[in-house]
Amino acid sequence: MSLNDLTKRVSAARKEAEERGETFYPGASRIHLASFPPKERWNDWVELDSKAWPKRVEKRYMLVPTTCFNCESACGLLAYVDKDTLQVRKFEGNPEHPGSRGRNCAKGPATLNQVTDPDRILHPLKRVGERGEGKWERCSWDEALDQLAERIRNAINEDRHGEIMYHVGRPGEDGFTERMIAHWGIDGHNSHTNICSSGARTGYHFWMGIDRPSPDHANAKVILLVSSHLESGHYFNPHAQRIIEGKKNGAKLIVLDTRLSNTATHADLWLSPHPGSEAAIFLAVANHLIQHDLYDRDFVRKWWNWEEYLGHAHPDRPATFEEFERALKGVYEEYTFDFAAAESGVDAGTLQELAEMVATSGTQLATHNWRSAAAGNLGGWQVSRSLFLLNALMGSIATPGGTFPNAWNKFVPRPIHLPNHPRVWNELSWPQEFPLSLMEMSFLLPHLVKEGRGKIDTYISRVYNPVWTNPDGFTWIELLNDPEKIGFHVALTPTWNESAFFADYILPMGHSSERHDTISYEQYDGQFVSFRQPVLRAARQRLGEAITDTRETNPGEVWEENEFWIDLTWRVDPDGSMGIRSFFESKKNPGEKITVDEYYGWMFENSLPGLPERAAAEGLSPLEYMRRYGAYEVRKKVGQVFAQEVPAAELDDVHVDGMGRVFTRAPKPADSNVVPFPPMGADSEGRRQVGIQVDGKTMKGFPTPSGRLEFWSRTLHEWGWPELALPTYIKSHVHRQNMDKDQMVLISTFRLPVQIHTRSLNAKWLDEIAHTNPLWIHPDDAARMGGVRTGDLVRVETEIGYFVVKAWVTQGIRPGVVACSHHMGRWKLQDPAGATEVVGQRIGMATVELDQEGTEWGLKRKKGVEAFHSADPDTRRIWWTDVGVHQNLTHAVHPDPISGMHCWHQAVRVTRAQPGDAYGDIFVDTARSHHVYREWLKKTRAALQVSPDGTRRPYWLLRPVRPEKEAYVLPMRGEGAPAPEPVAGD
Amino acid sequence: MVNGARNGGPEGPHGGEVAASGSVASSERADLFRALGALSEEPRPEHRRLADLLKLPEGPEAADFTDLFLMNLYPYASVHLGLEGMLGGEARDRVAGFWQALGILPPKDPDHLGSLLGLLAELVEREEGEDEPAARVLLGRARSALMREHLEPWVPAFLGRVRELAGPYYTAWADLLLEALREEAAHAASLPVDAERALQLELPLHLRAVPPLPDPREENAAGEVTESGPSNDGEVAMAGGAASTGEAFLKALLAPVRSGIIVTRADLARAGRELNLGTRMGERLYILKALLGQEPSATLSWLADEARRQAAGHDKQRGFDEGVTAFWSERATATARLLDELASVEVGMNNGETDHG
Repeated sequence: MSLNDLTKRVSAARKEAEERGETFYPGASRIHLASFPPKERWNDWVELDSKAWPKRVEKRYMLVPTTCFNCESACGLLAYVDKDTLQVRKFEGNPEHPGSRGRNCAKGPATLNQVTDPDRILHPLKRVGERGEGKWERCSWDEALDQLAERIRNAINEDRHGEIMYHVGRPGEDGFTERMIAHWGIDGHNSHTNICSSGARTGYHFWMGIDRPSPDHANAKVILLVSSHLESGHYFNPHAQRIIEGKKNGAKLIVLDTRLSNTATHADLWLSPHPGSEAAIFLAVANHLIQHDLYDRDFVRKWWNWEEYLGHAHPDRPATFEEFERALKGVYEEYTFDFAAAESGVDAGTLQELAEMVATSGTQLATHNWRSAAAGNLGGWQVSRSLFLLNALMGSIATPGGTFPNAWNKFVPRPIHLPNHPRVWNELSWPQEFPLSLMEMSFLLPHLVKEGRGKIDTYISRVYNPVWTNPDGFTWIELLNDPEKIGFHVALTPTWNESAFFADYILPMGHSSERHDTISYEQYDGQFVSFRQPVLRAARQRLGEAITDTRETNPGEVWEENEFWIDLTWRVDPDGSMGIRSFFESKKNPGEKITVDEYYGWMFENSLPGLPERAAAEGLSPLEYMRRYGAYEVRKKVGQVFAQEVPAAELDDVHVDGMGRVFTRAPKPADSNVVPFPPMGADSEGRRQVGIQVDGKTMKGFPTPSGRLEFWSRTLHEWGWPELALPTYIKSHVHRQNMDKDQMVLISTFRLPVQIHTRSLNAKWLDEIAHTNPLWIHPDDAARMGGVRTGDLVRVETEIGYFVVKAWVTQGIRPGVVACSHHMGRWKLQDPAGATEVVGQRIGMATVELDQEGTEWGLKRKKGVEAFHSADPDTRRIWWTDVGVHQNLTHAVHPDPISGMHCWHQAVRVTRAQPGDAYGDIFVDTARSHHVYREWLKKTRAALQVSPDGTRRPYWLLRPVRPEKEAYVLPMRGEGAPAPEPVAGD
Repeated sequence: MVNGARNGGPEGPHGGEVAASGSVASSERADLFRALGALSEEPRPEHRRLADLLKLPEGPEAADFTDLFLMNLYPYASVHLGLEGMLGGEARDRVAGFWQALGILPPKDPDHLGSLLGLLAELVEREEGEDEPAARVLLGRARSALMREHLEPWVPAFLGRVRELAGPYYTAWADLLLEALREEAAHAASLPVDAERALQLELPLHLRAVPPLPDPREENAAGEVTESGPSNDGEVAMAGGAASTGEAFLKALLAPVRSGIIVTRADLARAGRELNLGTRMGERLYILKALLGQEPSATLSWLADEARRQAAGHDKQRGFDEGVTAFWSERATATARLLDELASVEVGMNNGETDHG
């Protein structure tokens, strides 16, 4: 047969295969994701069994997708379900996932460790004995659910809505629980966000009404990171692969990180600024762009609210753009490179190099700040705000290679029922001192309760570990241990944690391969929805079984959270008379409980454009499609939504006001994407704001009060902070001026690349790689402390106590700054005598003793980890004993008066350990921590004093579980919720 | 050196003349390249379907693949064109640069034969699908440049050795690929020569300015090699003087683009058998040193014969650029000459201990 004939045979066969929708080349050319099993064979995938080596034994698998639940990235996973045992043998990447594209970090495959962890909690547990005593017994789900439901029902019926609180760490889902809470009619949602990202969010939110950045790294010319984003951080796996793509295409990478992180080592330009000086650096860059006319004038003219600013700041000047530009030149003129150099300790020449690199980026500047400096400093929210100023100047907003507002790169499919807004306001989560806080003041909860501002009847913590994660954990223990303050505490968690020790019930929830969720994140310019599912349930459904309760397929009695909440809601309102049950009623079978299959089936059928057609082409229902592939990309290349014209159908009886805002009577068209946006305003005649006039056209603009990018924030101006209405530089609480000569800055916010807060501790592979957190000390500082060497014990003294840790002497940190990762230092209490079940995690928790005398608390390490016998032979091979030190216990709360963010950096004194100090020792006085809380409270300007309109909070600001507008009205002093005591004289 | 002339006609089991582009659409030819590229990857069940379509004999067994592509003949441009004869380095960077110049993100192994054939297929398809005449010309040039610069300089020599070492399955695969590449080479040579292209009509960049094999006698005199032992991986004093004096020489000998010959583990094992020496398995340099440590002169003579044999093989290669074929042949011949000389003076080189242990 001739070459031509052979060629034709191959070509014809290829066309036939593609017409059948199959993959023809099994990894040809290496251009594609060749090393993944082709999706046609996911039902029956054969591999050689590695454990049988050197014998060649074939193993048959069913590959079932799910979504990782370790960090927030929501990367796709493929579970390899062994067909002989129906157990998961391993997790690898899902090539069909548009965000992670088949790639995972170490934490994804380590999900297997979490599933098979011999110390995981497999059954509901009920406390016996006193809280915190460590005695537990198994109970039934029915018992726990009935008791929980009764308390919730009573609180609602007795108008004690404020006494129910759901407190979540990692949500890992888009709004399921938040909507349910709203439908219960309570303002009881509490998050972890004010110890995480509120600082950065606030900066972004004031600019564009949307609170997250979505950088398009892959197409950037210049990538500017305030973080160690290549190795850790939000979306770091999906982002890191795109940053590297950008670098391969010639992008320059600039990294601001006081530590020499792995990310810094990959930078073209690495800056190690004094912590807290980042905004000064960005404003100096902005000044360079402004003074040399290097910014995109047309972009600024069209999209900034410069007219509003000019009208306010220079009412006497003509309202022309040229006049604004003249004014702009004056705004940042004092931010010279020399000024920023003096603040940051980075030399002026390097800062100029930075500015010149940014100036060359055109509209391809991808910037990112999420935690890091924005989470570390008083005024950290101005770091992200001044960083985004650079994008706003360069016009690199929602451009290829630029930075997008996240809400346009995210898709939250409309669910079968949407809730009403609650009518109540929770003063414990949203206290009046923080009218502008973007999220709940969750880390202040114990102090607010201590002040008598309220109590909690029923506290449901979910994947949340405040005792360990939050600052000032001993104050949390005091709160959780006091039945007068917390009446009933249910911890929903797959694994032991320091807060669950103090709960009344522990209810085991599933890991990523044991639960349902949908989730969507801004990881490139596109929109996708990722589906998390209990993989053994999906596998058995594929084999034809009907599964209605995920407990049938999960390990032990571990439950699936959606089913749990549906069941609980029905128990709260068994006959539907409270109007709560309706949220989880079937549409197909009215009067019956909705099933997860109906819930997600409806959502995928009705709210994911294009999915029904795509699924039908493969002979699948939309739900079957998602169960099979795990993710769906709704759109690619969304682009500049703000520059789209408003469709004519949305313009009816239009009114344009003096600021160029366009109002319409046409109702808002329905959208199957319910991603949160700020509510837009209305004119005096009730028309809704729909867009803005730009050069004679009606454009969609931004979801801000002005409809434009808000360089000047009327909100900040009117709500008591006129001096901060522009992006400015706020001197941090760890600025040299605010520290004593013998103090250093402690950076405590950084992650270890293979760990994730408190959730990855039960992954043996990850613990083996990273299990301790020594204190980074520069050699100059080590010498000054009398020749401290690596491994020596040092005492780190904070404002409320101290901890004793090992030193790691390294040049990878700025002199005058020390650093300690927050990931390690997990602990458990000694098992009480006669205990039959282990309480705690033996792979990664040290055993400690707590000691309390009045407000003085001590924690002493009794022993580190050690090898032990279990069903997993690897636990006999644990070779490490050191699991680090729990430093957050020694941090006082530092609420930023505007963003509400906890400002993590600490001013500390570091000395050699004292005689009698032992590794891991911790001492704290909670009276001192309450005093520090009161000191920080003095920085606030409470709504009662500053609110321009008698409300608690600007209505347009984003807020989880937004209450009805009436609930925003401030109670007069002496009525409604108790007003805070004045603190001025404290 | 100006080339471009083709020598002889095609040979091989599928014989016949070089096809004019009429009978098969280019996009179909892309499928052939992609399929042949896929078959250079680790075997999977789907490979059998492709192999059936191509009428290849039974196979491949995973063991055949491992023996051929993982143990003996590495299907990477950098191994054959790099000065070090190893994966990566400047040669791979040049290949990666070619991908980037086309605006394609280089894959993890940009210089793997499978990647390059996949890229060739891609370019063939793009050219076919391009309606804009000027863009089509540019794509045609890119396609021809890929063949000339990154495939022709090494793949024929590589496949020549595959045919010697492989079983029936991979031999048939190599024949088929050689035939398809000959046709592609003819197509590349048929493009009109314009001023820009005339400049390119010297040797491909990979083959330009490749230094000749170093003469170990000069190497020793110049004191270039300062390492105290043969290498730092634990084989202390095993190989004796020949190795310690000729480290750079031996490494260059094992780098195809420098010596003009491709010396595999299987070849060295054959040398051991034929010379009745003990073969100590390890990396090639290690095996070679072990042989030299036992019988330096005989080993060098054996290698000289092998180089002559491979030179003759290069000469027999038909249908590819004459300059490239001559490059390989001349290199191999020079290598044979040098090895002969060294064999005759070997006693002088072997001044270390010769512990045959």
